Amino acid sequence: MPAERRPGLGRGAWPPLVFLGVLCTAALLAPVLPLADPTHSDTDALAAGISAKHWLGTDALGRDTLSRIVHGARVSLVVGVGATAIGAVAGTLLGMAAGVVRGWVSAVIMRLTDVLLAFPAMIFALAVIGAVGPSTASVTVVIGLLFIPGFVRIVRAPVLSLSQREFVLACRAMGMSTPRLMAREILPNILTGVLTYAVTMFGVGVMVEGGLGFLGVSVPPPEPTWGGMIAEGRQVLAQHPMVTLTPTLVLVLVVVCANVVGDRLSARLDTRGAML
Amino acid sequence: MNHDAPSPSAAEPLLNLRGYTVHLNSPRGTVRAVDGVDVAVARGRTLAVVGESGSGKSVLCRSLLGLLPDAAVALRAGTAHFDGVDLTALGERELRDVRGRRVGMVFQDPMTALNPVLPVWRQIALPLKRHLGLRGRAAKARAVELLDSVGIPDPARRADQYPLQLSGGMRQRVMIALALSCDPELLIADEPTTALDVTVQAQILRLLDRLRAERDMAVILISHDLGVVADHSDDVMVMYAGRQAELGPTASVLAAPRMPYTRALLDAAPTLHGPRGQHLAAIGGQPPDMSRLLSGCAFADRCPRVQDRCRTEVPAMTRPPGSAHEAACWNPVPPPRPGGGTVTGISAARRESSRT
Amino acid sequence: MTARYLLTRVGQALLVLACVAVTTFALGRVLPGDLATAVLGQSATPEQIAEFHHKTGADRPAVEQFWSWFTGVLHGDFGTSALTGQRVSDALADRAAPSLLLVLLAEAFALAVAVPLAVWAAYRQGRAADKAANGASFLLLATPQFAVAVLLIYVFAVRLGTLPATGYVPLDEDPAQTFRTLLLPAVTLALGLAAVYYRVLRAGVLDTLRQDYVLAARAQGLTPRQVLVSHTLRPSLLPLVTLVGLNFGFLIGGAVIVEQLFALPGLGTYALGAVQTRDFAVLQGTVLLIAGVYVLVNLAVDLLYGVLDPRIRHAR
Ligand code: SF4
Repeated sequence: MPAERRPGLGRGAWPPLVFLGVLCTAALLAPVLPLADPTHSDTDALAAGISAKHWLGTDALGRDTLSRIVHGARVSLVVGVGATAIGAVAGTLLGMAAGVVRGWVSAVIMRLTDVLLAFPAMIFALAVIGAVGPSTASVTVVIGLLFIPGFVRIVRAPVLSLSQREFVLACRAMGMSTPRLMAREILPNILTGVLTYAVTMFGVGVMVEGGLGFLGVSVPPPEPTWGGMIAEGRQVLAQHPMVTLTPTLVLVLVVVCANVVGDRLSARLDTRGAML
Repeated sequence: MNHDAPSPSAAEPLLNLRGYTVHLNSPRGTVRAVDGVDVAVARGRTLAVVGESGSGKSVLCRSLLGLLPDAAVALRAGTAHFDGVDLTALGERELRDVRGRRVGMVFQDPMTALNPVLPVWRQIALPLKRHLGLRGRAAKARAVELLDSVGIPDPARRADQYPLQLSGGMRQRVMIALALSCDPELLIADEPTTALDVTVQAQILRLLDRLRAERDMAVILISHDLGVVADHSDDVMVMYAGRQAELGPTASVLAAPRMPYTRALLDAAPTLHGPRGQHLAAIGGQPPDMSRLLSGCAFADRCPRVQDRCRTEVPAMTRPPGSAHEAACWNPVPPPRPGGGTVTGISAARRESSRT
Repeated sequence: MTARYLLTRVGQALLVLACVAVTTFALGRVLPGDLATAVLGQSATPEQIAEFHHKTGADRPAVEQFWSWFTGVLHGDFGTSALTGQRVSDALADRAAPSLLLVLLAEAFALAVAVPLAVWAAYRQGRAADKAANGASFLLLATPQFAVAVLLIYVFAVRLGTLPATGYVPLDEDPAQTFRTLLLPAVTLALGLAAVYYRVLRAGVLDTLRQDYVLAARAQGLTPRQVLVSHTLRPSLLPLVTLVGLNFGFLIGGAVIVEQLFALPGLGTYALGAVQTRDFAVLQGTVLLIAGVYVLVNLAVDLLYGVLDPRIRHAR
């Protein structure tokens, strides 16, 4: 079914989209924006509050929080988007294969996802990152790997029922090959569900990256990450809670925004499905 | 019906509706689901309510017990006296003491109306606890007794089973046992046999007849099956688009319908036990849009006997000359000549159902 | 629920565990760094390192190492930590208790909050209470565990000073103290779980409330309490059973960040330490145990679901 243009997602979806858009733009343009150097220590303003010079204050070492958040966003957003993309692409392909090609292909794929699910996720991530070294790429790939089983499950169930429908059976009868069938007839039908799930998983990816950064195994310093900022702030939590709270708030806000957009998307797609 | 019962006018009616009206909220505006219904039922008698789906019969019964969501009801007017108390004046709490205790209700599809994850006896025990204070062993014993009384074989074993393990007919028997658990004075049966096989239908209807006689209950039987109505009711009310079309003793209404809609219903049902639902759809045209305020007879657009007056004035329920019952029609169908063959379909149906 | 189905499921579970074992082992081999230098120090001579490798078996072929480890596991012997010399099975037994208690407590808290709240919110759908609870769950879902933990530590340990932020007292020493030390980490986990359970259960209750049997229950004059508790809760709880089980399996040893933050000597921190020190025997043993619990719990939930839902049990 062609995705028909609708007026929009509803008013509630716009503030989060605008927020995410502004954050992405800022992160992209961070090197050319008139921001303080995220690694420069302003020794006159250690753990300072909001001021004209430091809009969101500074951390315990006097580094500008706004600048560190914007630079940290480069890591968080790239990891969130990249991991989701890896999970979505690999998961969708595997899920479709498991749904369309029965027999041993399906069995192998399903057992592999079971193995990945059974593996303690955080330890898996720590071990792999330990093996290949922490970098934006390794963090992205590891989180992406962990996302695959979810996408496989999201995709496989509808594919299983779709592959029994008349039009798919008709295509088979006409001799359409399996890869062609998947691309032409099945993919368009499951894309909306994958998209909705992906929006939510983007938020989860940002959270997981934050967790790794918090444990000190995401992108290494001096590159700022939100998780790292939150972890560093803990040392001065009692005296200067804002050093920790500001990046926490931004992180939560990003995930909330992703969830709101995902919610709207699924609500809209659901009603459309119901009207068909 | 060949049991001795006083005519409805002689007995004090158990339920008496006067000008009963329910308007519902819908996305398209207010729907006049029930519009000015006057009807009464006495103890020991069965009133059948007939009409197409959407004619207001289910809304009528559900609204009586306050079962419609508050937000759905736009307006409720008129009175509904039950044993002298006006149900429309009762609050939710007071209604809760009426529901189940004094008025029982049987639903169309026992598969969905019974809880799939509770054993049968537990479902019966809940109203027993609520209204009669029975608990534990006493409640279970009573539940088994009730299952026995509705003709379920091996009730002690069946009591521990889940609805899924029972046949459709047995599920409806459970539903009836549930509705009768607290000895209600009025039983509302909302299309109780529509979801069942024809042979099971007859058994369930005969069970309802027996229970009504044993308990001197009043029964409201909602149906769209005129064969069922012919054999299992004393009086019948035909509804169309939320309004009464015809009301009176079943024999009189079915033998000599005066409102063209009732006539059409009967004509469309050559064999009354034919495939369900089809006979009603056989009438040409659509029921009116009920969110519109109708200035005349609701049936005017589909009526073969329509006159100018029909479109401007709402016909009231009156007794047309030569009729034993009331109809709402400006140009009633003439009564059949004595000895005419209009009721052959029904007599045939009656013979058939008494054989099964 | 046939014997054949049961056998298939058990077979699948064993296969998954075998794969986990192989993967963990392989992962251990590719980790850079050497335990020998960690134990012996940077100044160790090549001879010392070689001797250490010989002692710990690290100089044998990988397949041989794997086989001897794997057969050991089948006999309940997880090997010994090359770092501390402690038997891994003993260490796992010690460390299972805090993890298990933490997850049990967290699940209990989460369910105690989420179940009544979800039923109430669904019953009052669209009212203020429902909206407030929905908003709270939305916010909690978006808040990472470590942020919740940091906030809780800030409020209860730093500001109010009522609860300890770190430390763990074993159950057999002082149960009351055990509970106190587990309170903050358990609440941290519980808040996230409660948000998920709340949303799932609320949706389930809303769905159940639309069923005919709920209308029938109301037509029997049952009180709202009877309708909600006896008729609505049970069918709505079934999907939650799966989720509770999944999370239980997932959090045993999966709560690495929380265990680390609150310095709990559980399975998660044990595995984390093993990753950092390249203590393979410990890493392999812990991961296998955690995966085993996960797989077992999943299997149990699957079977339990069939027992709890008569629709599945008596499906023809
Ligand atoms: S009132 Fe007129 S339109 Fe209505 S049923 Fe009678 S004849 Fe037909």
